[in-house]
Amino acid sequence: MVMLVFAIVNLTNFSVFTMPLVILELDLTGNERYPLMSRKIISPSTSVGQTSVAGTTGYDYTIGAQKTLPNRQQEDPLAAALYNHSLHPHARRPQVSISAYAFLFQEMVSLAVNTSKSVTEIENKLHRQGYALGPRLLELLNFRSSVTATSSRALFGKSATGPGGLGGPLEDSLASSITAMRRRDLRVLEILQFVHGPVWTYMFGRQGDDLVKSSERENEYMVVDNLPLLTQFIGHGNVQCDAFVCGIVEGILDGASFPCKVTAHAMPEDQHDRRVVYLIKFDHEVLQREALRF
Amino acid sequence: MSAGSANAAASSVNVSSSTKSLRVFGDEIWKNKTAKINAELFTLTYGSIVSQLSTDFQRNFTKVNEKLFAMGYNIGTRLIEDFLARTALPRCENMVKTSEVISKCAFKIFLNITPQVTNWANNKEAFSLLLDENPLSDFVELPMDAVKELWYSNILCGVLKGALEMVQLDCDVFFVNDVLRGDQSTEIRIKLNRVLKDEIPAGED
Amino acid sequence: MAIYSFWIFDRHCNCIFDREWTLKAKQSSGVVNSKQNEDTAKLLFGMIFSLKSICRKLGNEDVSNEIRTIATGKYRVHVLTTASGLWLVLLTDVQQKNVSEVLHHLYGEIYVPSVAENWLSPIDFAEKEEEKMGQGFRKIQNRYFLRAVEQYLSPMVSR
Repeated sequence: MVMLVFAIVNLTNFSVFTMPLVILELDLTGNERYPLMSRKIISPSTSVGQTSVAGTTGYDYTIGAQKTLPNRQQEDPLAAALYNHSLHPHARRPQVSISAYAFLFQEMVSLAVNTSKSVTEIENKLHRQGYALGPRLLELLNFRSSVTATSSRALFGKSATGPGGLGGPLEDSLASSITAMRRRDLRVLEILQFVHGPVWTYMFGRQGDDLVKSSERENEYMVVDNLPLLTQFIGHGNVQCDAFVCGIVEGILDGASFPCKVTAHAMPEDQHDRRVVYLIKFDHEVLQREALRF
Repeated sequence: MSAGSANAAASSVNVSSSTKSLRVFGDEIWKNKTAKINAELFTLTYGSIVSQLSTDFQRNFTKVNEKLFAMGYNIGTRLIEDFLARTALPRCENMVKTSEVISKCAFKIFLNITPQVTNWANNKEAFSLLLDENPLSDFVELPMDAVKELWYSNILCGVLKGALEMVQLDCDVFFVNDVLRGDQSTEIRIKLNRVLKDEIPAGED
Repeated sequence: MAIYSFWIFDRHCNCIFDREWTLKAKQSSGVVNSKQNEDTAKLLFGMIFSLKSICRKLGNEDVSNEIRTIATGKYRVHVLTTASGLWLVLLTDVQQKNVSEVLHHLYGEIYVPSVAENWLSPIDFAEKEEEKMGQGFRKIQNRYFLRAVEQYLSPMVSR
């Protein structure tokens, strides 16, 4: 039990907390799809019992709680910020200016343009770069929505005793104070609402403008955005730069075991001449599973 | 280091009145005139660019540094127009003023951070920016093979180089330290080479 | 208010945009980026350039002393110079004392988003060394910019 608990914490830490690190290493192995190990491991339960694990982590009641990840020496503040604070749902949500983002985004697009021979290749590149973010966002947003008010205090109170000593030696780790992870989304509609709601709000500061089911094909859904934030400065051209967002969405859905293909289509309408429809085509197996009663 | 900071403090005395208003000015533009976006999306997007470059250059991080710098330069030459349009600032009389504008206005308006200006050279033509926070590198830990060579946020140097060149300041801009590499601080050095002359039409003197 | 023409000069002393309106029958017709304006552009640039250097000589050389407007009997020249070396020049009737807001709008809301922030548009219009120092000929062609200038200035053109 004790070892299992540690395995959970470690893996979640690894897969969520050190995002770009994982990106860099992922690319070593080519850009294959990213197996979501942590998802499976988390799902049974993440509750950290009150089991005493003192002996294994160097907990000393005369000193109080210490940084506890095994094999980790005294953590520096940088690492603490990296592994704990940045994950917290109530932490300061920093912002940057949209123009800074727009400059970076356009430079990313031109990088793709300069290293590609065809429009499809450019879009694929952008799509792949977005895809790398998907599984990370899925974990991060789920994780944040699982943190309860009590556990926020545990982190920011920073008191040696903490609320009731819950979580014991893992006190400083946010993961330890989560009593239950948010239930994962099992139905197509649930995961789509997750994308349309929390994911869109996280990325663009507002919900998607519409969520539509295709009347013609069973496996097709559409998320509508009347004014895409990232590409609003880019003229309509041959290249669909929203492929980046498609990649993110596809990464999230694949990560949540809803394999699909996502494509973007410019469909101007009345007031909204930049309106973009993200078309989500689920794989056949998703529908088969959906048809099961459970 | 401490001598350098004292130096900077002394130098900022003579511009202190404008220093204060510059800070207010920058804050005001950030608060009221800037459309904003989630900084984490920015961080993650930049992360995916760096990782893409690492793959493209087969983990030759010297080349990655160069490419990031070149991308930044390209951005800087354009970003300066956005900056000037929003601030309507004239050219600075000296590097001390320039450093204040960079830290309190430019960094504030675009990235919502205010790096410390410090480590002035005696001739007041070179200084360092200390970045306590860096929105490009939140979440980042460098893998072992990159830790010695990669300047993860090198794009910033390129941006500064490009933008300064557009206001006729030919500078060297480079990273000295980065917490990602285990250093105590993240430090960008800016060194003025010369002030460029405005072009004049052919045939005039 | 009457606007006669609008010009942009870049850091290489080249005219990168010109738009001239003819005011017949209150129609906002006229020419954009025209060949026959090249000489006028050079003269206009030369006039502002010379005045700038005189101003600098007359005043304290260390303090910036920028030209804002030049008035003649019939018209007025309004200039916005940026720290990056761009000049935006607007010719209006002589009654218009201050159009700096118009110039700032042209710069901040039109030039910056459609040229500076648009990667499909060049930012430096002198592609080669010999196109610098007033020897260039390239103009802003991008249609977002052209349309935005038209939409913004046309209502002010006719008297």
